[in-house]
Amino acid sequence: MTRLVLIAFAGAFFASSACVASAAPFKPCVVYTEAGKFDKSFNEMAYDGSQAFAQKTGVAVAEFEPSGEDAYPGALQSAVSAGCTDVALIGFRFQSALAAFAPQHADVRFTLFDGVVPGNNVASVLFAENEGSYLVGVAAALASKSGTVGFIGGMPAAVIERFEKGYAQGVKDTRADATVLTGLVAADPKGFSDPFAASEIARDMMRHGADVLFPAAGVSGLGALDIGNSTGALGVGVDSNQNYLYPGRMLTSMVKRLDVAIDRAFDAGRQQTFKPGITRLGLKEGGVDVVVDADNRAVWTPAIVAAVARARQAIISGQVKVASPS
Amino acid sequence: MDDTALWIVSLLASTVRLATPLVLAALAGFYSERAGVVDIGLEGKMLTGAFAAAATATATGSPWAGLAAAIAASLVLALVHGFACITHRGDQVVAGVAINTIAAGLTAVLANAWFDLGGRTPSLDGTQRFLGLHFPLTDALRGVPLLGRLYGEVVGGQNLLVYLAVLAVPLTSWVAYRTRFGLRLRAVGENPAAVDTAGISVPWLRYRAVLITGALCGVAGAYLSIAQGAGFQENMTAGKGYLALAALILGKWRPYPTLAGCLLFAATDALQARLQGVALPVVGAVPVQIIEVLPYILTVLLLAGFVGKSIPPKAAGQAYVKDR
Repeated sequence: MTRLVLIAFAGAFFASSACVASAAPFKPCVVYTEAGKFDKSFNEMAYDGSQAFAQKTGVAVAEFEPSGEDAYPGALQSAVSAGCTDVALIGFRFQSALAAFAPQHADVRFTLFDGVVPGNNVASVLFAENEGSYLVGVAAALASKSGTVGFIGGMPAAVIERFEKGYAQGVKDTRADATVLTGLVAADPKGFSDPFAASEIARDMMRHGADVLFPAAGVSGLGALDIGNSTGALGVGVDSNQNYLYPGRMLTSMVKRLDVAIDRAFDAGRQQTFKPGITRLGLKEGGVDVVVDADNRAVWTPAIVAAVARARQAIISGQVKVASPS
Repeated sequence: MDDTALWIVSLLASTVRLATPLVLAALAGFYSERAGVVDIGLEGKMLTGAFAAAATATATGSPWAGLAAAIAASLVLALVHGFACITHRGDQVVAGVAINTIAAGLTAVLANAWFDLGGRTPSLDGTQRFLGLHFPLTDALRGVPLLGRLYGEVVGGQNLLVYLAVLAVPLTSWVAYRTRFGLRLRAVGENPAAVDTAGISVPWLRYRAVLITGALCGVAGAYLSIAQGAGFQENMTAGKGYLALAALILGKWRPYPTLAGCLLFAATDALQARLQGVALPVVGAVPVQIIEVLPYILTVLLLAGFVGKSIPPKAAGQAYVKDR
């Protein structure tokens, strides 16, 4: 709350000192999920991005934190009532609330991340998980001693398949004789919240010689990373930077840059360039990336650094096409 | 040949790990239901226990404090269940569902408020958890084909709570069929009026049963978050409480058959991890959905065809009213 007030103050200060000429009203707002803006994941990245935007432009960003999925429509209503012109919604779970809400407020621009809602005033921003995962695959192929690496998905879903296919392609393009083991935690969304089941799949993959594990399974992934850490495999974080979980034992994290995406969304609103429809942010747009920081730098040999840089260039220039299932 | 042996050993070890929370929760249900109190709330009590264990282990650094907190937290919910169903004769199923709802919401909210990690607790390191015990002679026997590995990875190498679950089965059987308390416990689930006529307090007996249920659920929760897992995650029980209930029904509310039910479910679960993407003879690769519903299909099939009629304790689900 204090932070919100501070932002408001900063905004007021900048607004009065800088001479703002824009005539169209612009008030950016973020609606977080109930996980809250300091969840060390999606929400926090969105928070960081909106903070950077406020710093950059001097426009205060209002924030709404609903207490649960039932409170999403209420939070959207409060945002609109508060005069927001650009509302960013963090995550696909807002899909149904927004689909019902957006048509009634044609003058408000909505940006939904990681999900799709049709409408003339809704921009749906997706991420090219396949491209980021390709880079993970390149690094995994070179970091693996056994030549066998694992992928654990949460459940059968298009987004999980994008992770899997991109990763497998990255591995194979780098090392044709490598084996990619794949597994799914469950057939329904509980596969994203069952770390125990994920750890059993991880154990089995290790038994088959896998020494890099890439779980794309929400919190289930933590179970797989824990097993990997205790038995000597390298882990890969997902969605947000998870390198801090096991310093020195993480290969990297495949991040969806929500901070970049939210900055783009608000910029579009500010400059009146808002476009409804689906956009997909890939490596070129800086929407996805692999993280190298103090926690995993030791794992990145010069060969990995060079190969990943090459692959990144090849994807951005269009030389390498990463398959994107639906 | 050696490959097959390895496969079997790893499957067995996985089965034991997966069966442990089911066994603890199913035995928890055994005490409550044999005393005539239906308990749908096993899931919620486990989840609360898991959260309390992880939060306490994070704060104190001690897995023992975590285990104690898990039991205490689960006991509180058990008391709520008892207060609603025994003292106030509320509907047992409704109270159980309420406990599950409270647990799912409260743990997530508290985790968020205390740790700011989006509904989970920080990852625990080795000293804050119950890790696998290294049995003597494991290394010496490693060379012995099959048996050496069986000893090292299935019999040994498990964490303390697994052995606790293993001991809990014969102990429960002994308590239920060889002690006065057990006799009365079973009687109060079949015919509470007779127990009352004998001058024994029905509520006090049922409260004791419900408290044992709470304690066992707490241990099951602690197993998930500070023994097998390295922290609490939102909804991490993922339906294990319901699966435990299914095992209890399959086992006809008896300890050893219930254990068999738990092992069966755990084995199908362990197989799931191993069958994915593997092309089987004749049918080819099996979709994950089919493997996943196996435990439930098995329950229905076994109940329908093999184990025969499973009859619940006669007074289960009914509140006892002294003078009608």
